Amino acid sequence: MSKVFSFELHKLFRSKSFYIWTVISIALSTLFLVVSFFVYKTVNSEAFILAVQESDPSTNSLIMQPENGIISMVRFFAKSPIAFCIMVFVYSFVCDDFENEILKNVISKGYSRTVIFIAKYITLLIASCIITALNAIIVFAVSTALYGNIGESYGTLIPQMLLLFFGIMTFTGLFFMLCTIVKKNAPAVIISILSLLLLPQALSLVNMGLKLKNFDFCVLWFGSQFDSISNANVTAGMLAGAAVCFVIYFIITYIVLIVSVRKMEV
Amino acid sequence: MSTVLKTYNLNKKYGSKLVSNNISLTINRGDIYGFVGKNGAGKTTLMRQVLGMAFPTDGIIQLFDGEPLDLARRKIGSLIEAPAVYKKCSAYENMKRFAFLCNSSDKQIKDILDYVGLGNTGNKTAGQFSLGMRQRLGIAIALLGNPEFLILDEPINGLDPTGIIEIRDLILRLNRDKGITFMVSSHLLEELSKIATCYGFISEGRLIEEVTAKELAEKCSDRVKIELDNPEKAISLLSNSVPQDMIHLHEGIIYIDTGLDRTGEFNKMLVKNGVTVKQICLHSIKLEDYFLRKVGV
Repeated sequence: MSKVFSFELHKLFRSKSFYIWTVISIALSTLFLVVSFFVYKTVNSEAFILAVQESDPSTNSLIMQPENGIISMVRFFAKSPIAFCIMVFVYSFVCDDFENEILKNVISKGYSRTVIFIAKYITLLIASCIITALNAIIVFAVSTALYGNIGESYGTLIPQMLLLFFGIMTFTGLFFMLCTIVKKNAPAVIISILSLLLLPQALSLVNMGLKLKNFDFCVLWFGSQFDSISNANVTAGMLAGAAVCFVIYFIITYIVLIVSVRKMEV
Repeated sequence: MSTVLKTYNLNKKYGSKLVSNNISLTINRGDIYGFVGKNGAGKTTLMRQVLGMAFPTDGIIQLFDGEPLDLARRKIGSLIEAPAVYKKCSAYENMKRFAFLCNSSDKQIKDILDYVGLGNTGNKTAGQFSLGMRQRLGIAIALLGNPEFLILDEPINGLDPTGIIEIRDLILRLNRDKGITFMVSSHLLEELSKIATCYGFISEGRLIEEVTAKELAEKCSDRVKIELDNPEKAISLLSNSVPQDMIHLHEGIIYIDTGLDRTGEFNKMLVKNGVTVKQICLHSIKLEDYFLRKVGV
């Protein structure tokens, strides 16, 4: 297993797509931050506030609250396209092997498909960690520079950050599972995007149809949990609920992955 | 003699289709085993089972006199169907990646690339290689880890004559210089005959015959061919002067492996005993004809 893992790690750090998508994700996250700061500055400019107050005298002096390094870092997980960048990288990294039939070179050396795919999975989790950590650090630094405020730590910050990281790992696992089943880059990307867009809509329709007072089906979607904990006012209960959801998705993804890999052993 | 590969009653089914049917073959150390069959005969399927890419439905695969299969496969190199290479990477980078699986050093990588004639490709990516160069890169990857046994599936497919000669010479050098045992599949028997030391003929998933190169040459050598009207009577007459195992009947025509200078004597004896001889001549079978007869067309 260690040799296969070394093989995958070496491939990761020699892979252009890893560096390209890391840079793209950082660039997009920074761009979003700069645009958000620009909007904040415009909306909170004296002239704009005066113009708004003329039509609505109850408007506060600050229309948009300022962010800071810590708040931006927490919010970026939901706001930035990091999940999309990781998705494209995962598909590029994995489908390259399928398209070039690389697996047969590794299998013929006495390694099972299960071992190979577990090594790929761990490698991709490491890659996601690196991409996410770099994004978080740069978002923190840029936001601090723009707003001139690091922000203050709060009680649930560290568990929240760890859970958000775990959420990204779960996204990675989902993408990897899909890629293993579909085996081709373009269809996997299309299915993922459609799922991310259509699944929340489908759950909303179920809500509307069933009209249950005490239950919202949208909480079943992993992405909704992710969005709900990507802000500063998060409670321990919300974190616990998100943690349970992420763990369940992680386990289901792992099981489906192993089953589909075992089916390839014909 | 030590065996590199031995299979016992190997069966492989995909759904209801039996693609490997009771195959028992043996490859001895040092052999270049030519595995011959039509397209779709089951050559690649058998190789995939030996390499662990597919699992037999039934039967046993024994490698290196019974070593555990996952450890034994570390001593095998293979090139199955098209070479599996990273097209956006150079020859060296391709080798470097797979070297992690075999603990091969940079020096070993460079030596192997020089050996197969790819030492000077520099940063040229594998996607820009010719088919022959990609085949040689595939063989180079298969040589990582100093394998004792190489399995090559149709390595000369699609190559021009120069490419075919290069691959053929490479196989012979590796067998001679490094003592590597080969299993090479092909439907081009004429090319295989220039390197193989023994053959296995496969048809519709069944191993029809295993024969050494020497035995095959003898079977394809000159013999007396007699077309006549009463083969059974002729055989009983001929067996008085020729050993019975030298006389063969095929589609109403008699073939005799000996007595190439006694055709007149045979003719006279048969005519004297009332057998009408339509034609008597010397005949040799081409390898292709032997192949077609064995695998059936």
